[in-house]
Amino acid sequence: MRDAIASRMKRNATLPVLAAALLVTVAMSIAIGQVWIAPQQIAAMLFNLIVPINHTWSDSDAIIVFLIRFPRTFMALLVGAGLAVAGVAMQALFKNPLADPYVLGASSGAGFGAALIISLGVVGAVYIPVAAFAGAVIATFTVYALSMIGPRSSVTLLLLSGIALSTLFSALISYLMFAAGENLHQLVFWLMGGLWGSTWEYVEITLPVILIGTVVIYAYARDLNLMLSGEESAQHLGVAVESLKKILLVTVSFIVGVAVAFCGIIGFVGLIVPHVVRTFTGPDHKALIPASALFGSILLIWADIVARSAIPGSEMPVGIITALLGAPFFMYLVRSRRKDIF
Amino acid sequence: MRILDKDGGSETGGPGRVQVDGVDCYYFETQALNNAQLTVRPGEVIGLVGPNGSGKTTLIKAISGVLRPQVGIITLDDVDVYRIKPKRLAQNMAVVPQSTDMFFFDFTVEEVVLMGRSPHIKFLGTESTLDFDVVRKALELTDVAQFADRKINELSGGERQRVIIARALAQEPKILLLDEATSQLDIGIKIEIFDLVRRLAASGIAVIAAIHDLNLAAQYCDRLLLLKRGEIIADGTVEEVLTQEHIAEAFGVSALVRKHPITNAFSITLLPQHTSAARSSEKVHVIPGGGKGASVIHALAQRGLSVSAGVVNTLDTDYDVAQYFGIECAVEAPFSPISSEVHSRNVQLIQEASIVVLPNICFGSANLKNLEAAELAGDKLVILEETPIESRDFTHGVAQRTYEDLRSNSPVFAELATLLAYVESHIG
Repeated sequence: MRDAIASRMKRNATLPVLAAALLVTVAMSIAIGQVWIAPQQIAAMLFNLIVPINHTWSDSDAIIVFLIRFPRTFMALLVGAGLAVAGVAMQALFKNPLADPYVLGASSGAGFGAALIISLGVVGAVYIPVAAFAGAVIATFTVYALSMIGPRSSVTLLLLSGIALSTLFSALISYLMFAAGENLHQLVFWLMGGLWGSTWEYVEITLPVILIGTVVIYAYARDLNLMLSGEESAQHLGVAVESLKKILLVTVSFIVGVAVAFCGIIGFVGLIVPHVVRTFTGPDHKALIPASALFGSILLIWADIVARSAIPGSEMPVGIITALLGAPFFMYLVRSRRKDIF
Repeated sequence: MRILDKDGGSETGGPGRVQVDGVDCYYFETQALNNAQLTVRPGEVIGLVGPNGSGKTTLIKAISGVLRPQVGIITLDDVDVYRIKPKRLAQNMAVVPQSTDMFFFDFTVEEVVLMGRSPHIKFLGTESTLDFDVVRKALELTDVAQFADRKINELSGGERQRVIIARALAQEPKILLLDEATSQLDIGIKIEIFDLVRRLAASGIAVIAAIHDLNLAAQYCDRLLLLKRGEIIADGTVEEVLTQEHIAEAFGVSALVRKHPITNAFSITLLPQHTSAARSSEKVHVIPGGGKGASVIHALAQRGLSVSAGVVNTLDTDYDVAQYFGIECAVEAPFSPISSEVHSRNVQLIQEASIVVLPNICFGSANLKNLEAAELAGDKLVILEETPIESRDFTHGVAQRTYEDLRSNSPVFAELATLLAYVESHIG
């Protein structure tokens, strides 16, 4: 009984603690960079938007904060949250601890779309995200169509088709890279994932997609809990399993599509965040989904801070950092909690 | 079923009458159910019995809305089950599977049982106090209330299955489907769960249970359906369905079906397959009487020998043992003298046998013919003599004269063990 109360208190404290941590993280992300801008300066700049006050900062600082660091931090926040929530949904849907948002081939589909545009030499910043988004959505629906057995889709076939399609797209991407020549550098950078070049326009497009996507997945939190005891059991408890699958796959492919389109393929966030968060919220999706969103945001913002400040004067793709942080931590987690996972 | 008397406002009309009409089901190209026909009335406990792969689980899946039939229709209160929304169906029908996947599943027992309320909770809604009341009642009915705060993954298999049953009860269904829900549990818990099932049925809930254990099915079901290779080969009361003929047809084994004298419950004993296990084609014939043949038949059959017996009277222990081992018999009505027809059948069995055993039986006028039969055995006869013939002869010396003739021409043994050794050394 005491254990139950303690664990409930732990659960209730999780969201406020994560929300506070996210606030600090956002402040640090805007403050840290080649130029340090103190948080109180940032607060003053924000206050100035509502009530004009004396400028205690330079115009270049204001440009850095509002046109570079804010949109970049928000993109990291949105994409981190979106990938984490998509990962939660996929792990519940597939009842597989290795499932992640890219499991249905969305990442390599998007990668192929983007690589095609880059190697064709199409000019115009808008085309790459559009092609990547189209690639992600087409890949997901192809995999879904391949997995149908009569009126139902088989989860095992979904996974296998996802792997097969990913392999196919990866081969095509490799061919395009091989043939790309001088455009290679741009393509490689995009594939490794990064948040450079984030603008308010990116945020304007990403925000509604990821916000709506997260809300939709959260709305099905109860159904996701039921899915954990198997598809048939879930249906016997009133879940419309096939329509739930379709809703989740569409939602996830939109989240992944928009994330990949603007930020490339950022690995590991969607895989490890759900596992980490589950250790302190438990398996209940009503707690797991919001906590994963917050934790995913925090993780990706910090990874981006490291990516842009680890090597002075240069930027690393953030995917390298998430993998460097994520992989060892994931190994630790698998070893220490193996009885819960298997 | 309403497990609380309060009105929850979630009742979905109709008494909960299930009708299965001419249903064929397939797994890919394999037909798993052929022209299934079934009407389930409220308060009825229906057992589905039959060997593995006979279609019990398929029928449960079809009724529960997860395996759409290719042919035929399944209705709940005259509405096609496959046209009812899963949520509404789950308000009326609950399923307990043989085992449940538990993935990322360190939910507490209470949380798991609360999942049974989800068909009654609106989209984006939350649990009401009524839901918690129903959950508490379900926990008590299945006797798992003391585990309410424990993690389900920490429970034993039996406890966990009771929690899943509690979850099904929390749905407040009108129809409860059990798919071999107790087959992995020990006998005490099985009985507990089926006692609960009977109480639920008494409150008007219909139960359809696929049951592996024929005795359990016979004890708890009002009605049985016997399936074989996707077809319902018998449908009726326990007495009508569990006949030796039906069991032989469905399972390919012989069985002893009896009514228990105290509980009136049926008991089914599956008999060992002696014909296939027999060590030799040579037969041993036993001439039993008054229960004295039983131990000899038992000992011979246990050694895997092919045994026949006669003449025995029904109701005699010798007859029961012969039945138990499924051996060939010449059988006479109880307490009746041996008729010439049965006698000639016995003589035929004796002629087919390589050895004929005359155990330490008593002789009266009714079974003198058995002694005549023994004479016909000639040099195949062996005699077990544990007590002198004088004490066993109730024919004023008629039997004794014949017996002593036989005795002087045949091997005589004072103990069963030495007789068995003799028989074994002469056969196989």
